[in-house]
Parts: sequence; C-alpha cells; structure tokens
Amino acid sequence: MLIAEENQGTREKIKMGTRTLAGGVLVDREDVTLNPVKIFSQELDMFYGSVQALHGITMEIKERAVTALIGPSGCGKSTFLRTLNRMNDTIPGARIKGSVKIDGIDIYEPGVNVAVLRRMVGMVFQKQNPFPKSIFDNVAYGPRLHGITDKAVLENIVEESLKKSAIWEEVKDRLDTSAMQLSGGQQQRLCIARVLAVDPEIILMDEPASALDPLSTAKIEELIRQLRKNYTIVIVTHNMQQAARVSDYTAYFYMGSMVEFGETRKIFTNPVKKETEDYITGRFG
Amino acid sequence: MERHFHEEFKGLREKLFQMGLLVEGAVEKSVQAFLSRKMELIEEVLEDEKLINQLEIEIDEKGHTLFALTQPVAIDLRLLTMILKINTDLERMGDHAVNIAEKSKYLISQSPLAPEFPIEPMAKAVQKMVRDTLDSFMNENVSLARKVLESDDMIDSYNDKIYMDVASLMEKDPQTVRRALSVLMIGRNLERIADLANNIAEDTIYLIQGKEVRHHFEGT
Repeated sequence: MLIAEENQGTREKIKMGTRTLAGGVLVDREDVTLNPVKIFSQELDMFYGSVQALHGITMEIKERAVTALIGPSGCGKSTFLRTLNRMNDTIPGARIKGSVKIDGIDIYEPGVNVAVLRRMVGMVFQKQNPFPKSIFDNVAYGPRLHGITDKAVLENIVEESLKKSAIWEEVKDRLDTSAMQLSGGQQQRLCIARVLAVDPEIILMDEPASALDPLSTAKIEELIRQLRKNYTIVIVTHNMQQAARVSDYTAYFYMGSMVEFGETRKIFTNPVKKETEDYITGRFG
Repeated sequence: MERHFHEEFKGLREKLFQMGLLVEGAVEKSVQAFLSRKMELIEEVLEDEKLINQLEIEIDEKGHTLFALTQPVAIDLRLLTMILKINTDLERMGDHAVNIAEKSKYLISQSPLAPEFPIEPMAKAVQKMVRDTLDSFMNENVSLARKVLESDDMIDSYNDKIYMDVASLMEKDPQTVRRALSVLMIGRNLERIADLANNIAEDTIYLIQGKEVRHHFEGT
C-alpha cells in the first residue's frame, strides 16, 4: 500500500510503479506564439521634419496577445505606437518610410480611410480623458458618431462595453451621472469602455496606468489580461514590472531603434542583448 | 483581488506537491526493498529519481520565471521562495532514497544479518514525517508542521540505537562489517531524510505565519 493512497482528502494520488503523475500541471501563460500576425511593421523609419525618430523598426505583433514597448524617455516607443493608427499624421512635418500592415493591408497606402482605421485601432492615453458628459453618453459617443441612433442598441453597446472594461458593477446604477465624478481609475476604465464601444480589433495603450494608484493599476492590468482574449493589445509603459506582468511579448527601444524583441518571459529571464539586460535591471539610465 | 498570475503560483505549488508524493513513494520503496528483500523495488526507486530530478528542474525554471515576471511580495514572495527551497530539499530526499536503495541492493545479495535493527520503526516514523510535512505545506497546517518538528528527537534516538547495535555486532563478528556498515548507512540516510522533512516543516511555518523557527530562533 502506497503511503499516498492511505491519506485521502485533498491529496492527489500516484500509484506505485505506474510512473504517472496525476494533476499538478504547471500553469503557463497561454501560449500565443502560434497566433497569427496582426500588425507587421517593416523597416519603418519615422521623421519629425529633419529629425529621425524611428530607425528601421521591423516587428510582428501577434493577434490576441499583449505586446509591451519599453525603453527610456525619448526612445521612440510612443512614436512607434502612434504610427500604428496614424496618430502622427496630425503632427506637421511628420512622415514615414517603410510600411505598417494590419491584416496584410498597408495602412499608409493612399485611399486608406483613417477614420475607419482609428475605429479599428483604438487608443487609451496616459491621462484619462472622459468627456464632460454622463457615463452613458461617454460610451455611446463613438457608436452615435458612427450613425447608431436606436436607443435599445445603444443601451446594449454601453452595457456590454462597460462590462468588458470591468466597471459595469460600479456604475450601472448611475449611468446618467457625470463621468467627471468617477475616480481616476474608474475614468480610465470608462475610457477603455469608450474604445470598446466602437468594436475595435486592436487597442493601443500609452502608459494607461501611470497616473493611477496601485489598486487601480492592478485593476487595469487585470483588465488588460482579460481583454487580450479578444483583442490585440500594444502597451507603452515605463513600468518594467508592469510590462513583465501583463505582456506576452516585449520590445525594448533605445534612441529610436528596436534593440530587442521577444517573448516577455525570455526577455525578463534571459535577454539576448546586454543593453536590454542593463535596462531592465536598472543598470542603465 | 486575485491576480492572473496567482493561478500560476497555484499550479507550481501543486506540482511541488506531486514531486513530494513521488519522493514519499521512493523513500517507502527503498526501505521496503531492504525489509522485504525485493530487488524490483530498487529499480523503481532509480526510475523515480529520474522523474524527481526532472521535476526539480521544471519547478526551478518555472519559479525563476515567476520571480522575474511577477515581482512577488509578502505571502507571494514567501510562497515562491519556500517552493524553491522545498524543491531542493525534496530532490535531496530523493537522493537519500537512492542511497538506501543501493545499500539495500548490496544487503539483498548477501545473507541476512541475525540481529534486528530498529530500521523498520525508524523508517515508519520518517515516512510519517515526510507525509505530514507535505500535508502541512499543501494544506497550510501549522500545527501539523510543528508535530513534524517534535518528531526529530525520536529519529535521532533510533539512529543512535542503530549505531550502537552495529558497533557491537562488528565487535563480535568482524565478518559482518560490510553488511553492518550498510545498515548503518541506511539509518544515516533515513536520519537525513527526517532532517530535510524538518526543514520543510520550518519553511511551511515561515510561509504561513512569516515566523522564523529555524535553529530554535522562535521567540527571540
């Protein structure tokens, strides 16, 4: 009689001589390495006038995965993020060379509808920026802009978006109150709901939790992990621990170049480049 | 709030427990091989050890990755640290089981020694310590961990008794020296397994209560 078998209760059993282990499976982050590529940036250069801000960035961003962009201030990570939905177009003198393809389509080709692109590629900013309107109207704003007027449809979109952004339970009884009355963390989740309301496929986040307290930050991080099941997420963060916790892939930028890109668990345990190691261990900068 | 990585912590803890069960089985088989002179059990212990070694590496790697990706603090930090320590202790226990199996192999090939050494009661007590220490870790049971710590003196006295018995046998009959030394080594390895079970019990108390009880440190 094997000792383990005598002891019932929560104990898993192993049988003498069978060499099999029941249960006790190591849980890994869901493997996303086989997911298709959603965004492909190829030899991407970016210029502000005569100043080159990005140098030949080639990166494959996987669908339904979180990709974190890290690096010191001015390294180009936010600039790169903003090239993914052509937010840099609004800056005078900004131009690019190379290409950014989403689902195989070059978003910088003439004829691309930028409004449609930005609906498909939503963005969440560092500073939460709700409109001075009710919670409901904040979320319904995008769908209304896209022509949805049916009240029941709008109500459904608002509820679903608020649920997906994990704030529904906190606001469902006060949808008519001003969004400005919400806490910073709630406002940020509302802004995420606003992005979700127009049914994007990709969500870009630029330091989404850097202005929040630790608990609100944790909620945003958990939300990112939830959203990744259905959306492709690219996040810029100064907080390397945050990148480690939430992302599947990490890219390290320095002086406009991408120094290293790879699976987060590899980057944070055994990076290939010494520069990456120096940065993530705080030896540099 | 549960964080997404807590599921990974739980999986690692369960994996360690699985490794513990394997070690527990290996210890039992190694002693049974000696007591019932069954050669086939020795092979099983050697096979078990391969699995134990493989698990040690897996658990180490996963633990290191979780350290890097989650920056654990407080209970999460204690849990991950203790998992890695217990992992090492369990692997050592597996090595001691192999040592016992090897000595048993030699003894099985020789004619049995006449006197009764208290290997069986000692082994039973050690196995109970291993079992209790694993359960205390898995179920976060401090009182069970403390019981394990209290058993250590008993194990030491069994070991002393074996030493005396072996010494007197060798004095009486020098023909028995090699076999008697093998029995002594079995006792010694059991005693080391008990020490490692003690370590795990101490680590479990630290994990649950954040309280240091190693080296009679408690209360100071």
